[in-house]
Amino acid sequence: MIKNLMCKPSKKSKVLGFSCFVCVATSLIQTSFGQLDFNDDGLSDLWTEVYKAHNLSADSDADGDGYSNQFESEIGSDPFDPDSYFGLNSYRFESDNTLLILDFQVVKGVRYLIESARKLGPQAIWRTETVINSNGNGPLVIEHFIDRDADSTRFFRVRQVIDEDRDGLTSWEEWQLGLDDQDPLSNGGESSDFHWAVDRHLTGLDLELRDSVVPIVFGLNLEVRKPVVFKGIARTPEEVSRFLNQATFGPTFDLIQGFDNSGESFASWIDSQIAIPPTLITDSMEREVLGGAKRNHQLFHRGWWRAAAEGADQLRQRMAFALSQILVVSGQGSDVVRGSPEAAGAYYEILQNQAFGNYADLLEAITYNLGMGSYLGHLRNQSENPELRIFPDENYARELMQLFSIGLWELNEDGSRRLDYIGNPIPTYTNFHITELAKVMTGFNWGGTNSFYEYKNRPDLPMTIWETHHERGEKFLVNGGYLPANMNPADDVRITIENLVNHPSAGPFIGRLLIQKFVTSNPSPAYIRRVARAFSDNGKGVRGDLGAVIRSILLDPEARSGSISLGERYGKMREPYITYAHLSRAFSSKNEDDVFYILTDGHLDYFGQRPLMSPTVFNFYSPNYQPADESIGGEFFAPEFEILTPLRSVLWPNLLRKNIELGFAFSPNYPHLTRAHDFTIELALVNDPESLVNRLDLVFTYGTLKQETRQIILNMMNDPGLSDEKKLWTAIYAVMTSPEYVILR
Amino acid sequence: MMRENHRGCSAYTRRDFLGEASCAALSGSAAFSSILNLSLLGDLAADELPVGDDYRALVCVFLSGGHDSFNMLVPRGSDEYQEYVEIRRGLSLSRDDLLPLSATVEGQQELGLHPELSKTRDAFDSGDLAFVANVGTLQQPVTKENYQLSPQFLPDGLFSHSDQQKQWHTSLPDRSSTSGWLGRLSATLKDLNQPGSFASAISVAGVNLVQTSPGVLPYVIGNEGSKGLVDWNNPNWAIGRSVVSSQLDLEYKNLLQRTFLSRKKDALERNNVFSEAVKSVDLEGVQIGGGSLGDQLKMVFQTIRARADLVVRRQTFFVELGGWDLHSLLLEPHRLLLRQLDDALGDFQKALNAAGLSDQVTTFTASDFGRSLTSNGQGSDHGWGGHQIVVGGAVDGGRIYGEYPDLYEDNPLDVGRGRIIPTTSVDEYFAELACWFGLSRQQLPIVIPNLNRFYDLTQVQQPLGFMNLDY
Repeated sequence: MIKNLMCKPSKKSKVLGFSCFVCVATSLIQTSFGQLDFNDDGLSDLWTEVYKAHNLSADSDADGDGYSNQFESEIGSDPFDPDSYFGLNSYRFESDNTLLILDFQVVKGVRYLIESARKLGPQAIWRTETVINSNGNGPLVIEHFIDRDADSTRFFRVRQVIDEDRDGLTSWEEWQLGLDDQDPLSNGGESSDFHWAVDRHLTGLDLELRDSVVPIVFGLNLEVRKPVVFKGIARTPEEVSRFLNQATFGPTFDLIQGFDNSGESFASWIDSQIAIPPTLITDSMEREVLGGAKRNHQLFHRGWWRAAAEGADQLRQRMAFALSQILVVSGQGSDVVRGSPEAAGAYYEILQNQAFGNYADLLEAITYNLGMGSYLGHLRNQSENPELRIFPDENYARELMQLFSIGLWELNEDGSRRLDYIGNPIPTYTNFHITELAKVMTGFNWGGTNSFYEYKNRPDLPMTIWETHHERGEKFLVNGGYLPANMNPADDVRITIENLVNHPSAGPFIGRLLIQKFVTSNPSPAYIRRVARAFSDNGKGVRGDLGAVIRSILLDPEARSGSISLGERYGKMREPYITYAHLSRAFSSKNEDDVFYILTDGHLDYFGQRPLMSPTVFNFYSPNYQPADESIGGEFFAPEFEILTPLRSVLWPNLLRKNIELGFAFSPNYPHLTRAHDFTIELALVNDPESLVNRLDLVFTYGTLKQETRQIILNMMNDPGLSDEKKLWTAIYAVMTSPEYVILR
Repeated sequence: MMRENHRGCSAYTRRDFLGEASCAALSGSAAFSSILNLSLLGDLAADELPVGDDYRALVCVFLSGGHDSFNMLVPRGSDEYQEYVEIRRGLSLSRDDLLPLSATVEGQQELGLHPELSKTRDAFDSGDLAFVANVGTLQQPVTKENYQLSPQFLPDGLFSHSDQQKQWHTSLPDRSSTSGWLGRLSATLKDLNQPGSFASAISVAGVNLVQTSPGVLPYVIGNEGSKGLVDWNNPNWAIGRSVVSSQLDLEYKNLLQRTFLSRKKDALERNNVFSEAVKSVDLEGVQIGGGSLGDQLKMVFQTIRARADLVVRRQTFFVELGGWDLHSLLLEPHRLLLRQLDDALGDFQKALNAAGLSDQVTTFTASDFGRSLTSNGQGSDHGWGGHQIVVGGAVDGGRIYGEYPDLYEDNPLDVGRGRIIPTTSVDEYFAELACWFGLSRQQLPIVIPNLNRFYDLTQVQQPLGFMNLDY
């Protein structure tokens, strides 16, 4: 928003043809982006603290100076002082229009730019003339020498910078916190300044502000200044559990307690999750082979379970599973993926390795992956042969754009569709671009071979790209990208992928999908924008850093704030498969042989999910699925509900119940293969029903179990006719099938 | 069997006159938003329910992935077959293997069927089965010139699975929609069924858009029917049942929590009704081959037989056979899929005939799109127009409807790579079926909002004519 406060011409200069105008404008970035607003009231929490503005609403104007409280919050001015604002008081030109004297109202701690341009309007090019760092509130008089290099008209403006480093904190907030608004990582850590502040606040640490107050004690001004503090909130075990329910395959009681006691912050937990070595699926598969597993398709699933249930790198495992549902490869549609655990493992391992890597590297790696090539058809895809009426297969080209990178419609940074001048959404690409991209994806053959036509059964190797069958001609990419003829095939591929990752839609497109996987199905535009910005720049000038993306997803106020989570549309249905893994983790299921012989064949029927077995490339469910169960105003997405058919809404609890009662049983005849739950502690608590329910409530529902649900469970446990085991089973079943658990919020 | 004189799309009833009045206010672009107000129309119809065994079912067989139907229905005339071979090359079938179809219409070209389709051919010959040639998604009729110069006339996301599948479901290729045409059809005719009946839309292949509209959500069952919670009636689990029942009575503010709870409640209630109804159906001697598609259709057959207990007079069904997206290898997998389709459709129709239900059930195919005539080597790519099968006693069969296109390269319908511009819109195809189902002419625009772009709603003729409305 550009707010023009004043714009008047100077007197014409005595020198022929030269005149000056001055305008004062503030440049404000869209509401509620550039500030720390943990309670979602549209006002900066730090600003509220400094000015004691706790009772103000965003759109009123407390001091009647014509600027809303929200506006004052964004620029950092005092909402109770009508003289505290940003605006021009007066100006004049002196010395034959070579000296501009500006008198304007400033706010302390922020930067002002005096800029000039030779014309106004869309073609204006504004050049910074002077930068002013303001040290106080009130009027400021600046004498600016005008460098009259040519006879022409000149326009001036003064701008207040709101969030120069685009990290989510306003310039004023950064000054208050002792940070630098020109460096998004000025806190010195891996998380942006914005997330650093959120994280400290949530860890119970106070944020000390530069502004100070002078307390009046017994009517005497003692001149002792006391810093203003934005108090951290005391972190509860429930908050820790909620975070771990979002970021892992489900916490155990010990994990929550250990985390809570350590006092470790959420940000530092994420840092260490990113740092620890990956639990790779191929290693998990080999461990299962040692336990007697055969090398068939089931081996991949056993390896998956081992990594998901026991991997210490839980966030990485969750990210890999999320990515496997965006960059879909499936055994339904690829015999290679279904038939060879090595091929499925090789694909999944890329997702694990690159979970926090660069998105372009990830897309490049999956492009060469054999499973992907066989699933989406670029394996053995060859250059055009008009003679034989053979044209490159377009499947991978299409899905790479539509599903894996930029989507069908051009997006704004906040995920909304860009519109053309008559209000229609703008397609990101046309069929022409698909045909062109299909040419890039030619020449791939099985790895370890000596020619395009040779076959070698090495499903573990990436594909090799052969120049002999790679389309040699030039290719035109989206957004004006261009590949000249006769490029090296590998360069063709790399540049094509970078072209897509650099597309402005990539950040909001991928960002929204990942938010939906971890936090909420209906993220606000501001949330999407913050995540898209993390995608576009990790703070070090690198685009596509998935580590920065996951930090910004999990540390965002919209993910962490308790008040926001109470919204009617907030949250997401947990993926059925993740709840199943949670059951295995929560009670540390084990067996003698330490193997994961979990029968997964029927999982698609029961849950509608099974890793790398999606029915189509569009995943088990669509990110845009909107339930029509009741009339709900506006768009309301609930992706996972697409697989929750009436049939599955009973099959899922049926299977869950069986596994609560029997463990993960292979067959009653093979107890050494059955993963039995360790209910020692829980069974001891059956005689203390309140404590048992509290414990389950902490692990599964982070303290959100409804009073009525608790009462239903407590009543059940009062039944003298039930065995302890049956009481426990029924209690776990009631919690894990409750809306409080199934809907993660 | 007694036939109702209840000709869809032509008979004028009191309801139509009233309906017309309410439709007038919904003309043009406003018509679509009116779908939310269907109850206005429905309320007027209550006193006109026909009597007797008035039952009709539409069974949608969705061939997901994009069916290469130019290898299902193939030219046999010597010139046309030459053109077919010329463009399809390694993907072409041998002329000698094709099952000849006797064209009954003057001037229509000679066509043959894929050799696996013998049951299909028999049904065609006996007059129960028809093909509709070159159907596809269209915003409006287009030419090759439009294709090149006026992308705004084209369906959104042409050649993309998700978009084209969605548009085959919605019949609205020019906008995004959360309702499908069968869903709107059920909603419009809801007064022919019990109020709030869940059995009006049954899917044996998961949640889908085509049967969905505000107030209509398909009841999804499996090949074995519906299921409930294990041990629900077992006294040993009485405590579990009591806990679950109490939990179902709780109230939640969060929309996701509410939706979750209501789905579970519905599932339990509907399962009670449904399993009770289908339990008594005797399926002895009923054999439906064709793998999973056959299993799905057998469940459909069983459900239709239970129509009296489900108290339903108009039902839509959704079944699906996937695997048609044959990019890298077409011929052999396609042959196996067609064999499945042939067995499933043929046996299903046989079972309906035996049960005397043939005239009341119409089965039709749909698919994402046809495929490119040129090859990717050994497979074919996403295309546009394709051919569909309609089968049932009420079908005016033994004929090919629509126009079978030229196949030679760069012909006026070829927009490149042998992707053929459809000459019949899905709107006309669906409208014809909707008329038979009992929709009045005035109600057609509610269900198929773009229909008037292809079909003059005031004309006497049916959109395509393949349904015999006397049935």
